[in-house]
Amino acid sequence: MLRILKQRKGIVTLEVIGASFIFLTFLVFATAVSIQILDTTRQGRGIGMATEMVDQILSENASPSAGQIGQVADTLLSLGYIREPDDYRVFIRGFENDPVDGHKQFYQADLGPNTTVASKVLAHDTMSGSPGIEIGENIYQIDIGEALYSVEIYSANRGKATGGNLPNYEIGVVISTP
Amino acid sequence: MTVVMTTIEWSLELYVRHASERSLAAALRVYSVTGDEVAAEDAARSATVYILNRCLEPLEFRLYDAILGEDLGDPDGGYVPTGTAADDAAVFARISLRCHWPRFTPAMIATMGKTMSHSVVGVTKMRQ
Repeated sequence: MLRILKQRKGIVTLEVIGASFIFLTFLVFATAVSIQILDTTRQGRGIGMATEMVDQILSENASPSAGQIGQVADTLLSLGYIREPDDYRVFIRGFENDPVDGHKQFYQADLGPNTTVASKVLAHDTMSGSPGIEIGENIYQIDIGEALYSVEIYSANRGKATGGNLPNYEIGVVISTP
Repeated sequence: MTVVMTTIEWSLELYVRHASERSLAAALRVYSVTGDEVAAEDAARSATVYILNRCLEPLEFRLYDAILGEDLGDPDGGYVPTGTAADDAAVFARISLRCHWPRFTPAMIATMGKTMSHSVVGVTKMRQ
């Protein structure tokens, strides 16, 4: 009888340890998922704020410098919508017409906090894979004119998680007019 | 029982963090259109439930007449709304929402402190 009771006590102990392990694993998993969802929510709101900031900056200066536009990324960082300077990069692309159908991009500004100059697409042509595009001249002035623009945030972290260092996860794109 | 209480509290904390995001978004949306602090505060509170209402502090507002070169992350940047016609010149607003949650389970208090403090800050264009 005593032996059976001891055996049973051992089984119960094992059951408690097993259940606790499963419970803790679930708790950690649920927490991680919840934090990821919160991150995504914040990034989504961050992109909305970035667009409004760009909109306002353009209304105050029609040809802002890359540094002036770059304050958008600095603000997102200081408000906590971007966690680490190295983790995220903000791109602003200017379009001559519909950025979805026309793909007529005329500039691309990389506004990562570690980036000091922006790259510019010089030719008014299709966005990728077409002849006539010159990319790479460093500029300090962005002439936006009366075009559409998009603001995009890419997460380098997600890229690392999928095996590369390129920022390949697009969090949000918002199209607006200056 | 301790494990259950800790789980409940941790879940509530996560909920509070999520809910505070929604609250701030509601406050920003209303304030950008109306410029009314009370309406924004009401919107923030109505966007969530009783639990978050208990921990929410009054919203803090800052206005900007221009943002070019401004550090919108600076808590002392801009100016406090006066409620007068002078505020009409503002083109941008910054709203801070803070929530202080007194923890009640020993495990949470021992590992993370007596109070959870969560702060969310957002900016919006004024559309009045």
